[in-house]
Amino acid sequence: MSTVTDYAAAVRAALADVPPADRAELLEDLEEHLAEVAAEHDGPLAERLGTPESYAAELRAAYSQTAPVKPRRGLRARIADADRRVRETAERLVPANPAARDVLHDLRPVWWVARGVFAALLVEAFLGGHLGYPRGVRALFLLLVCVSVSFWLGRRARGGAPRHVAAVLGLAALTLVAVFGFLGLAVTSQERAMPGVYHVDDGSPLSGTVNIYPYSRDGKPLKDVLLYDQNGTPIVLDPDRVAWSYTDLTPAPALPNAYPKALCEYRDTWDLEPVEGTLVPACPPDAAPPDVVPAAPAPTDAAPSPETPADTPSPTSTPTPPTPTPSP
Amino acid sequence: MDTTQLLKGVLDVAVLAVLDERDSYGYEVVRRLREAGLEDVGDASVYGTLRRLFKAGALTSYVVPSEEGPHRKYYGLNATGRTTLDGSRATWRRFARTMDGLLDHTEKR
Repeated sequence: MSTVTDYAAAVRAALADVPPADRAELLEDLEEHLAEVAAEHDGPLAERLGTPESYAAELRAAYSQTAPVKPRRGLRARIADADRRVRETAERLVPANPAARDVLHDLRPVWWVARGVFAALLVEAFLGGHLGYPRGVRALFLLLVCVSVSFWLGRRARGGAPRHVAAVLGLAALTLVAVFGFLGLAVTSQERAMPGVYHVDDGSPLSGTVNIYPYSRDGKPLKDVLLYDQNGTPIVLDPDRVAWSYTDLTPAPALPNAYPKALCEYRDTWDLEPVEGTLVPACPPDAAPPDVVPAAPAPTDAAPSPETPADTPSPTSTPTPPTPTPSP
Repeated sequence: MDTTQLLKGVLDVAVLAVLDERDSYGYEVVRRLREAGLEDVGDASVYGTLRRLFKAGALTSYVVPSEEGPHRKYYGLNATGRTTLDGSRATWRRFARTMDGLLDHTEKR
């Protein structure tokens, strides 16, 4: 046992310069360890463990390794880690083909510009503008700055300028034009949609409705009724649905919110020839007052017209819903 | 190639893996690592690593009194240790794959 004591003393001596707290922790069960080894091994401890000095050095090295476990990692390290992982995944996804790599390499400026534009839009939105088409000197300036910075960052991070400067600048300019063109398009279509027309294709009760048959209180079908919502916006039923399933035979010029429309069913979805004369049947409005029940025009009959007022009230009749003939 | 150099880099994950299987005291960790095939692992390295991992908050420890021999300080993984092990495992797998790819590639030529 004296060998254990001697060995332990030598190890402790070799670690004399370690700060007390760490030293205590390091040497905590040194004797226990040595005892285990001694119990298993007959010769001197040094035969198995090396000199006490080398044991101490090894212990110290393993303890003070420069890459310790980090239970809480800094944000910077996390970001760097995530960045590395993304890059590794990208490396794996990018084809090994050198030509493809070249293309991707040359396309990076496109990404830089797009990223700059996006950043500028965000900043502009923050500065009290709105997220959308940038207007004004400030927005333009911001855009230039952001794109420049993004470009600079991209070139700095990846190291080295792309090979064909002209091609790259051309691509960048193209990207700018494309981005602006897209934004412009989005805005104009929004503006076109916004002020004039109220499309009912949004899950409201009228969603899926293609035609409206207004009736007067005394049961007379009305013609050329213009419908508006509470904002004075014309109510236009889902024009796509109408266009896909029906032919609008309303004589031009027709207002988009004038009802009822003279819709004509297609023979089938693939045959775009309208079936002459078969107009979408009208249904009697349930909203009619109970004392005056409007008539239901016969399902396959002509369109409801004011010249044929209802004289046979039939509230229980089950009209055929206006459905297009199913396609084969 | 000198495996002791390689061991330095992976001893943490090796120790964590052993302890993930079951709690062990210092010398048992040494023995289990050797049984697993890491014959070159140094006693002091394992002890130093255990202390460092404990200090870093990756391990729990408790003393179990022993009737014949000395009391034994057992180590086990806590949540942090398990997270660290998962991370290290992934890192190691990636690294090993990379090296395999590199070596396979040059071997064929």
